[in-house]
Amino acid sequence: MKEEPEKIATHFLYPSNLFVSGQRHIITTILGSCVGICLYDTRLRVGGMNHYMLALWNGNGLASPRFGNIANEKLIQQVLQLGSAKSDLVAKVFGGANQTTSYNNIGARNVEIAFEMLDRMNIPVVGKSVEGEVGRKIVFDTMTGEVKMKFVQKS
Amino acid sequence: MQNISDQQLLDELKNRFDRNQQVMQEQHELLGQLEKINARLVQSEQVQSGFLSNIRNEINNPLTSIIGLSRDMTNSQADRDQLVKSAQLIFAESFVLQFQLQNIFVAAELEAGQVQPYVVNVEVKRLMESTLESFNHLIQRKDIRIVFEAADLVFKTDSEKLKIIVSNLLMNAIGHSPQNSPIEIKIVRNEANNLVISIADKGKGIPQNKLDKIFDRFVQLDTGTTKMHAGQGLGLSVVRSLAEFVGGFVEVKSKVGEGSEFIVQVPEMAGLENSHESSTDGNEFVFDTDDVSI
Repeated sequence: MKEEPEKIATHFLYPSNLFVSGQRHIITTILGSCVGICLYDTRLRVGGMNHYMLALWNGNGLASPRFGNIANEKLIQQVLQLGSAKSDLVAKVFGGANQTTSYNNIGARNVEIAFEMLDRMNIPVVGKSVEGEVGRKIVFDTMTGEVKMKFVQKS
Repeated sequence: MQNISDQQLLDELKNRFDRNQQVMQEQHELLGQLEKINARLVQSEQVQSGFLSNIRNEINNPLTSIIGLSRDMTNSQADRDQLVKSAQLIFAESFVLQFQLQNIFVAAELEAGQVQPYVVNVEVKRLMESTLESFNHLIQRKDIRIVFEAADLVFKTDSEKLKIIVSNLLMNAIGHSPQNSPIEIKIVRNEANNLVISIADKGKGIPQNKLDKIFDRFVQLDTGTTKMHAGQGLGLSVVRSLAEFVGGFVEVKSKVGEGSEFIVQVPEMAGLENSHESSTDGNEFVFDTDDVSI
């Protein structure tokens, strides 16, 4: 285990979940073909992250953040509820690796919906690492907006 | 003025005509898409208002009975038999109420993206037995025979989620079973090393063209005042979402007049604690908000 220099709250973000907090958190997640958007308010210095598995909810099952269009909408909504102004928000987009040989590239479609929605919402993408063939481990500090990333092989 | 030949004129006209045609075609396709989306919106609007009025009944009716029955019980002249009877009814009503509320809460958590997996070694047979036990009063009331076949297996998964999945399938199976009919339950580990749970009833069955609808939110095939089955149409959408949450899926086989079989398949879940540390060496880098590219 690594030693943390100071006690900061941590949160491990599971797939289909999202996490937003007004308090400083270190959010960690592992992304394969999933996509995670780190949303950060540069003025209030708060943020949150989602982790979705498929691009679009087709009306089946629940409208959960398993799906990009739902997850992105909810992430933005929840960060705005912290009192953020949309003009202060910036985003970083990760994931969407193509780990299987399947012809329908789930990862690429996940990435596409992220950029499309952020563009529509006028939220600038200030950092990204998407697609490719390997997964990623993401560590997001919601107070600084800093993201550490590491490529990981699927175990 | 430029002189152009008839042929050139014809070609140009044809060109423009083709382009027009193409634009028309595109517009037509867009219109088709819009119509589809619109239909979906109208449907979702109906579904939502239906849900609200439905949920009111589902919560209000059992509560009204519970209040009425318990008020009667405070009547000091009531004899023991009467009291027991009332207590049983109160239990049955509150059981259903709690079940409905649980589904609403789980659905809310799933939709909020706040569901945490909790992976343990689950004795699946025991889990099913205890679930059956809690449904005993409903099973007895309908004289249902449970045909239970289960391998003794320990499976690494989320026990709480699995319990909600089987409870919902069981609740549906009991609800749709005719009086004095069997419900068949099978639990096996298949070749792919997945856990397979199947619950089959001898109910009315589901028409083939409705099969893909039943996992939608707030969809009940049997609606209106003649509806026989309690609930607000959340159960199967919760089952589906939870099955997907634990990495599996749910499918249904059904024949009208013969009954329905619901099959849940879930893979063994890795000890998720490990996945925190599963990263191997790679190029680590940091970038702050000013970094545009990496």
